[in-house]
Amino acid sequence: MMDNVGGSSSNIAENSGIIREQDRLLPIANVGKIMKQILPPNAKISKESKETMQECVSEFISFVTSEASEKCRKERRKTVNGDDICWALGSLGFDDYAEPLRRYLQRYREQELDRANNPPKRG
Amino acid sequence: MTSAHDLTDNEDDGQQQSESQIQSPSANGISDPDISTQNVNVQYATPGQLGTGHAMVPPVYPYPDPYYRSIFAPYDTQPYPPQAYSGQPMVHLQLMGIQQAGVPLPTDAVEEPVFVNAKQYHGILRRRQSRAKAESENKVIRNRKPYLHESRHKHALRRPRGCGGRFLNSKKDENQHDDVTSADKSQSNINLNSNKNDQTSSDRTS
Repeated sequence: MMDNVGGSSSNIAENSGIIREQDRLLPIANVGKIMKQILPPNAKISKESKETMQECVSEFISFVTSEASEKCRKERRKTVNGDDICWALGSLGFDDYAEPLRRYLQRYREQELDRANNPPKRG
Repeated sequence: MTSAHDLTDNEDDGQQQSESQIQSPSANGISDPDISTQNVNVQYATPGQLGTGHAMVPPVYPYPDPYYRSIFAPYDTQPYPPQAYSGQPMVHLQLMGIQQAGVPLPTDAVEEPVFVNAKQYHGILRRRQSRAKAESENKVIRNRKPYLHESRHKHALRRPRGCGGRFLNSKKDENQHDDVTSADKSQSNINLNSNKNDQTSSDRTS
């Protein structure tokens, strides 16, 4: 992906540690698609709604991740894994989300094991 | 066929206008961060808005849901909707005293203390420091760019458009092609269409 920094309206250099919009927020199209899943087929979503939800979900990700990162820091571990995220959700009071996520993580790992034990045959 | 399509567009435009009118306070809230002096206010006022029951319900929605659930779970027979919270702060304070689950959050901009889930207290303070640090280092680009990539913007400007501002060659093949391409391009397309014409935005959204 080529980002035309020179031609863009922003005059800020890319190497100066600036947090770009696409690095700070989830892509707005993906957010819109997820929001649309829960709505009736003929519903419309304003761009303002998507942008607001972009800010909310990105802040929530940072909120949970910082809690997990703090736990890893105390335990002197460098890698934040799925268990840390589940623990962070419970630690922050999101127990109703932590339990489904643990089950998802368990199935995800089982799936990974299946792939490792049964590599796809070469054609 | 064409006339029916136009009627549908008109209805969509009406809905869009209504939505913009209804959400004007939210838009004002979003535009405030442009002013440096108000950045801190906006940043700290968000929990205040949570406490004062401000109209900006969507931004704070992810937090109150588990918060209220954890607070009012023992009182299933007396569920309190979030709107009642703003109207009855005393009752909420009493419940806070009973549950001992709320911790007053220090806020510079808001006079009344904002009570949050005790489990989230330190996390909220930590995030505040991170955001303040990012802002002090001028790392966060506050002004959203209308598009991410100049070349794609120019390409979209050159595309032929029909009446109403929609792209002329947008057919099923074009849609499939858009689906195949990366999410970045999809994001760019939606941004371009949204900025150029509301009708096009409606078309993409539907």
